[in-house]
Amino acid sequence: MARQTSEVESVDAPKYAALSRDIEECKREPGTTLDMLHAVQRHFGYLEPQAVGMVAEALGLTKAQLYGVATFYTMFFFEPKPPVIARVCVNLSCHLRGAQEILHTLEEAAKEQHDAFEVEEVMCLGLCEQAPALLVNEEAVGQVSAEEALEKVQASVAGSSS
Amino acid sequence: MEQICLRRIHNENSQDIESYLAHDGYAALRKALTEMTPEAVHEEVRASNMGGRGGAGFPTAMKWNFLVGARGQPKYVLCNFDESEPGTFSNRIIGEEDPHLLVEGCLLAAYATGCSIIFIYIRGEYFLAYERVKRAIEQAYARGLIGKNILGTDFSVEMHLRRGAGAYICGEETAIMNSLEGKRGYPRARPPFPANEGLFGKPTLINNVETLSNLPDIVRNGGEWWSNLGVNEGAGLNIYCLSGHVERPGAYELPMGTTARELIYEHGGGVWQGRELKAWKPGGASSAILPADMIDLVLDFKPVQAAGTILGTAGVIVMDDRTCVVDAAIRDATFFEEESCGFCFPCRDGTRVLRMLLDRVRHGVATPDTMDLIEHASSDMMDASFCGLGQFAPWPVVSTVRNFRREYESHILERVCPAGVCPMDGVEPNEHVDRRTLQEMLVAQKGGALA
Ligand SMILES: Cc1cc2nc3c(=O)[nH]c(=O)nc-3n(C[C@H](O)[C@H](O)[C@H](O)COP(=O)(O)O)c2cc1C
Ligand code: SF4
Ligand code: FES
Repeated sequence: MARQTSEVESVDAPKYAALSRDIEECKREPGTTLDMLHAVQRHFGYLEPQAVGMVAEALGLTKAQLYGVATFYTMFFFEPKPPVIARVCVNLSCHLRGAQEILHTLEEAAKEQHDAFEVEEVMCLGLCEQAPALLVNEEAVGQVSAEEALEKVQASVAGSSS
Repeated sequence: MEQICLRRIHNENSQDIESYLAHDGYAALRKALTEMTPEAVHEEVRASNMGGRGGAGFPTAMKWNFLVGARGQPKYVLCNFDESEPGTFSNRIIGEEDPHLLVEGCLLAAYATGCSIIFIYIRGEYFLAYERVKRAIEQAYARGLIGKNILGTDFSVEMHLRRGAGAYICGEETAIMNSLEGKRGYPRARPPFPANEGLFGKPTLINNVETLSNLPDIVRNGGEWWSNLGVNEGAGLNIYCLSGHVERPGAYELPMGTTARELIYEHGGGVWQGRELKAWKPGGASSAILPADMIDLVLDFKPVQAAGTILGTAGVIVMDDRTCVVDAAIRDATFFEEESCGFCFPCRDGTRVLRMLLDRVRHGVATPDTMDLIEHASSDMMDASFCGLGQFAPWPVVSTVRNFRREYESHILERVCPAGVCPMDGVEPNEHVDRRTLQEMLVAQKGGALA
């Protein structure tokens, strides 16, 4: 058991080191708490507890205090996620243009593929003129049919595993 | 047609400083810093009669007065780039395609109001806009347009870009400050107002991206010139965000005071697939759902308010004759239930109650008193909610009850969805919720206990 943990730690060591540098950079300026949490998620894919601890220490907060802040915001994840996340907007402008079909198609496909990607229902993404719209990780995708949306997601899944 | 904020967006590499400089970029900053006093800049903004584009339409020059009079150092400019109102995307387009325009606008506001530190707070989901604004700030720093002794004058300012992380409430002017300070994004009590005690307890000017992006042209061409661009007594140009069932959705920068008919039919190409207009919204989720016969409404702050709702962010959403207004209203209701920050109970419970009531209507299990319950819940929320979110959240719902009463009666009394959209399956949709809780909430609403 102990050996396994240290192996995991050594695999993650560069991530912690990179995070450390990000934290140092953020610390030089005011108002960077969320940026530090974004950095954790960028390196680990979610708010990995030990990394959150590093941020808490840098800010002079307890981990509980920092989690109290982080849980307010919907973009932060508290458990590991698949490499691809599709955020599908379900608000009015997208709803009127077929958001439910996209959501349904993606959810079915995710189930079939044993959660190779994750589908999230999200509120307006500010892409309403491109409705129906979604974000595939950081990429904005709009004015698509359900099939085209799925293709985009599949391409992203393929790209992330290669 | 005259364009201001969207004038450069189709230029090649419009987001790059070279392109911006080649199209009058930073000319207003140079003019302000070398030929004008801060008061003179302020005076042009006064002459422009501009109302803030973030939703409330508050006169920009008047807000600046508070800053000039406020004591405490440093003073901050906080650019509100949280843009999360459903149906709204004008700020994103500026940030993605003309980020230097925003940077220049921020600098002018700081100069006129005596602020030395600028923060831009951008919503977390705007990945591309974030990258482009970040690069624009770096480029401007490298050219000495931000930093110490800008353009050789004694005006010095710093600029920082910060990301949100998914929370509509963080667009509210005090919640955004808590968020930037690294706290949960709950709104603060006012007073003290941000102009006196804002970010980090210091005087803070908060303005929307579009408000700030109009400043360079106001400074270069004069406030009066800008003001005269409006029609029907409107001042300046305004970006109308058009979406939903319309042929050509998009951002249209038009004279303030354009009517909804002109916007939807002349600019937007009419209702999608040549269908009939059934309903529309003038200003994002927080505004009412209006019937087709109000299409000649002048889209400016005052006329829309006189018609009983708000222009808000001017996010105009079009619904054709296949739409069910109950189905439309529940989308907005769900948005507010999701985004209520939970700080005060009239909004936390009220947004849930409204969504649950609508869900019952959709499933054909609503009781005959449902419309009254919606009215009660709505007026309690409007009166007793702590911030604008809860005060405006009922509007999309209660407006459909008032404007489309017949359609509710059909759902509730005849158990028929006239548009054939709702499930109407007779299944209680709130089964997963503790029944007693819902019942108690409804009783509380009915007794006006929320207020
Ligand atoms: C719930 C809520 C959300 C808001 N979201 C935004 C927003 O995303 N962007 C914005 O500029 N203003 C938003 N506002 C309005 C701001 O509180 C504030 O009035 C505005 O940023 C002031 O800028 P302006 O005077 O330039 O319009 C929001 C208000 C409320 C109540
Ligand atoms: S009205 Fe809603 S969003 Fe505003 S403080 Fe209350 S619960 Fe939070
Ligand atoms: S409503 Fe879907 S992006 Fe705005």
